[in-house]
Amino acid sequence: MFRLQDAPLPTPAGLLPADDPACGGLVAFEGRVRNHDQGRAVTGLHYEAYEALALSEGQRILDEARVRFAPARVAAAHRCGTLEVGEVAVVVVAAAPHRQEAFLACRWIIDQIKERLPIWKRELFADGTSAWVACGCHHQEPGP
Amino acid sequence: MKVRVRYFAMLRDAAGVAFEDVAGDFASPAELWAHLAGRRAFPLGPAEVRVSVNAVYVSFDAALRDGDEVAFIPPVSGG
Repeated sequence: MFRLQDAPLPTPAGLLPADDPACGGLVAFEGRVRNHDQGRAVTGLHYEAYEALALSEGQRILDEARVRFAPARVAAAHRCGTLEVGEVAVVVVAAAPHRQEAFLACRWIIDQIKERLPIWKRELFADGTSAWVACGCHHQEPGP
Repeated sequence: MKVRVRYFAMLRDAAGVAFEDVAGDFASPAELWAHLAGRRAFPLGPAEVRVSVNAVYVSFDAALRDGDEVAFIPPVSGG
């Protein structure tokens, strides 16, 4: 299930308990707020979402991953609101019989989240200014 | 017909409102966008945004119906 919430996110184990004896590999990704971006000091991020579309599109991504990487088990959650440096903004977990599928599914899901989910982050800079991170050029960055 | 238009992030900043109800005869999101862009200084062009109707991504030439909720989605930056 895909989750979107203001409260701190669950741990990977809380999001997808490693309780399936058929799954020998589990890969988790956490995206955390970093303290810099393109040379500027960042003190936090503010996330805004179109909740209805984010929930349906997030669920669609997970459903597609289950088909694409079957029989993988997957889960993901994204945070909304204002986060401080170090806080977890997104969690993705994928479990599969073998590590290869688990790595691939986890990577595919976070890439789809960054491309498709209607969520926007506003960077809060140390100098007191802030700006939306969304210029299209961001897609070319190596990612978190 | 009347549709509700929702704005997010930099488009909300440009519109000055989070949503508005717009009356007119719009066959598609493309026609609605052209109407709105004629009244507002949007920082993005139609090639840079996606569109959703009733919280489902659709194409700019999809059909619009009375009461639809339309959102123009600026480049996303989740994660």
